[in-house]
Amino acid sequence: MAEDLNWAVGGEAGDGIDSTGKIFAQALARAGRHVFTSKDFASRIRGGYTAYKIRTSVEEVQSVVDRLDILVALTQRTIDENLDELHDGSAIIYDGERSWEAEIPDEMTAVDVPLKSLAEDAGGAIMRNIVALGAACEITGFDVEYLDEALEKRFGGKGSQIVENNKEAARLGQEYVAENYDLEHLGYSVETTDNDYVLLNGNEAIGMGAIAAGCRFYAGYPITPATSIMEYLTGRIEDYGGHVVQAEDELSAINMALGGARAGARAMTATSGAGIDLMTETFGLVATSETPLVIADVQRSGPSTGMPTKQEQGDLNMALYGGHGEVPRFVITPTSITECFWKTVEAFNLAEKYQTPVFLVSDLAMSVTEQTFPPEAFDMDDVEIDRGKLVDDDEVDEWLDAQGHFRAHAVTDDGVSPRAIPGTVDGAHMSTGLEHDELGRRTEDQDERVQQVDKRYRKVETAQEEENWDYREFGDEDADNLIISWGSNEGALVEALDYLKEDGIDVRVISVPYIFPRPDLSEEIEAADDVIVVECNATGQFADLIEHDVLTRVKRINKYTGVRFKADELAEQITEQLSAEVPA
Amino acid sequence: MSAFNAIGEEREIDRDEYTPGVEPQPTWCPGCGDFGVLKSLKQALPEAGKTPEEVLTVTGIGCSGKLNSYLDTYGFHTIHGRSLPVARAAKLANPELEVIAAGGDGDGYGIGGNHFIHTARENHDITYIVFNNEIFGLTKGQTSPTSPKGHKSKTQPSGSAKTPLRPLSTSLNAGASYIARTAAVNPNQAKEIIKEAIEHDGFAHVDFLTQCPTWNKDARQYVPYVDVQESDDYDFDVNDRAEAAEMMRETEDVLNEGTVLTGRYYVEDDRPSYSQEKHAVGEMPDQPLAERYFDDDAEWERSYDLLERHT
Repeated sequence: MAEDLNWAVGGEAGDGIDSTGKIFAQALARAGRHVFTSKDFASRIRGGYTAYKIRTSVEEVQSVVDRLDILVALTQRTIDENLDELHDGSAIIYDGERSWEAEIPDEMTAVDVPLKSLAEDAGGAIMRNIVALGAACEITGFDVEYLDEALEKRFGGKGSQIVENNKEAARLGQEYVAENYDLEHLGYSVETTDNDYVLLNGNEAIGMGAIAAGCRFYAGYPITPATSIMEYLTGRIEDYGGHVVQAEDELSAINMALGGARAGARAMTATSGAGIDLMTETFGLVATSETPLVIADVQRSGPSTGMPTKQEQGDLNMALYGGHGEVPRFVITPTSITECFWKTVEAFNLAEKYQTPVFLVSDLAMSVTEQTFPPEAFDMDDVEIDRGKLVDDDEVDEWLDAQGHFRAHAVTDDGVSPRAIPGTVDGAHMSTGLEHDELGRRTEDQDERVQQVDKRYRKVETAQEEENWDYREFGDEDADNLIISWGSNEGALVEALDYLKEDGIDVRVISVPYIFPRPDLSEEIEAADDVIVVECNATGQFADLIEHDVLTRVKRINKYTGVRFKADELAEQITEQLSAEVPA
Repeated sequence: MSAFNAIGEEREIDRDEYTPGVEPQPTWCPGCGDFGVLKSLKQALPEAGKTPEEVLTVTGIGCSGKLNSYLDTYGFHTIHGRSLPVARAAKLANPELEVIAAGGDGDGYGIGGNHFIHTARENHDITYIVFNNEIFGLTKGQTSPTSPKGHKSKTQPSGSAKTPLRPLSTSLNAGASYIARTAAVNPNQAKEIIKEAIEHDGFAHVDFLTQCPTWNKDARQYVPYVDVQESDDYDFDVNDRAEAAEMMRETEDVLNEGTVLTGRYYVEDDRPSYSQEKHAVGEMPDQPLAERYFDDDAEWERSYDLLERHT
């Protein structure tokens, strides 16, 4: 298990908790340490308890644990909220000059530092959290100089005086603890390495993946916890020739992304919670008009407004089944922050190759967690772009019918039709949410209807054959115990293996990033004695799918011509099916 | 030079180019005002120098939504109420396209009302034609946002309790920079207004009175009509917001009394569009978003410096 140190700063929303924590995380990453952060926060701007927690080690850390070694407490509530995680060896940094009387359990070490007074000595009370960071450095033996670069990054824009004041504040905190306390017996030390790490969260990884994948148009409407994707792209995507639009609502956001995509730009939107409900209206149009679109859903606790700042993986069924009628789509769920980057790139390629909506389903936990990675984990040279059957003015003529009309929905073997962008000579065509023929003209002809439905689903079949839908695997491949998970639980599961191993329990972990299409796990399930599906929701949406996949196969009679079943026809088909083989 | 070869093509354009080879005959009811919109577009687009393949028409749901089935351009028939977000985004992605959005009064002033307000507010450089027949036609005659107060229908058998929405005033308050009303029964004016709307830089909103002889039983045919620019009875400055507001209000009031006023109501030429505003602050690149990396040989930028910001 990783030799880790667990540190947190907590106070009221509005106390600068987030930026204080981020500065410490950056300093640790700079010092060649791995970092995994988490946040306790509420949906309010001021007041209410909030905390930024850091787990750090020289080894990779992929999860939070229930232990807190050093806590910077700006309020009593910060202490109270974390009593379960604090232990006998914990050190709590607080400001004894403040009006609240700190109640700290006797077995813990109370480190009273006049944060505000020292901050004033350095140039302003606002820097009290930085004083606390300096104090934390002293307790852990972490060189206060590592904070300098992070402070320059954070405050550089405000002028060198501000940066210098902050550096001074950190030193005053460090010196105060050195002079007044002897805490070596606590045994905390922070080893540094020469490794270079990048520090980023899941939403930043999605944003970075989008730009790297050539996304040049983003439309969104603010909603926690998806907004930070939009904020990441704004101010960055412009450097690559892109643009971000803030729409008036989510209905508009997804339709704008759709409009951008139809005009030829790689486009995406991202949302969460009720936002994905509104966007559901447009899923079918994206699919029937065969427009490439990436829709990211950063899940949060539902239903309705639910718990907007809390974790849940409750939107799986929505991503799979949302929308009336039958909507061909891909559903991808990144399992780590690096995978947020790579799966975003993949989502854009799948969207354009197969001209379908691609759902990129992430979650709150991943969106707010900052984690360190070696830069090679995001090697831009490995990013490949495939725009699929986009036709230019030379190729467009290959797809005209005898009268010269462009066959935007041509029925092909692989189900994929050519795509001509408005502005291309000879490419003019209709596209519509109505059922249509090859030319995009509306139709209710039964044969044409069936041809187009089949063609759209044939794209999924083609993708199933041609693309990679593998799972990720950890632990003991031959173990009798099989754990299956999707999305962001992977990191915690991988670390849980260490705990289980200590107790002599071997498990095989399968982490699934593809929900539709998804890998066939029937052999793996067959081979295991015990199968457990892990997910952050109440009803086990993925477990239902896994059970479904290994159920007895039935024969099927389907009709989608737009005409209801007729008795004689049914009798005939039933007879036919009774003598047919059960599908695999 | 655009990567899309239809854009900026200089040549003689025949009106017939806009008539599609398949489905040249619209299925609208005989006497329907929608024919008037189609005809005016077929006349105005060539006169404005636009070839069919540099035009994108985006429609909503309703009888009006069939417009681009009968007009040979790049057409996108969207869902109810959402034509404007699609249209304005397409224009942002490729400003060299001529983008025309169209829909009915239910589509634009009802279910899509929020998008109408915000598209006008942001002054996107597109043309928006609202087929206003004061009724839901395709669903067979229910009350619409512009149906007169007291108008009886199957869904409002005792008569509508609502005062009709004021399309022109709403548009002005929201921020449209070209606002006009025309009528299918006045084809010459309609063509001129549509052409002006296409040529206008900014959000051009045309409230197009399209009589529904089938479902609006007490339907006016919108005759006789009066052109407020040509009539001596009306004198106001289309560049003056206050005078325009007053003229719009009167126009909306008298329509339900049987007087059909049409013409240009408000024109603001120098107001920057959303795209221009964003370009001025460096948030909208010079090169159309859609053109970047269009060619097969395009070298995708490797975004190394993105990663550097995380160290």
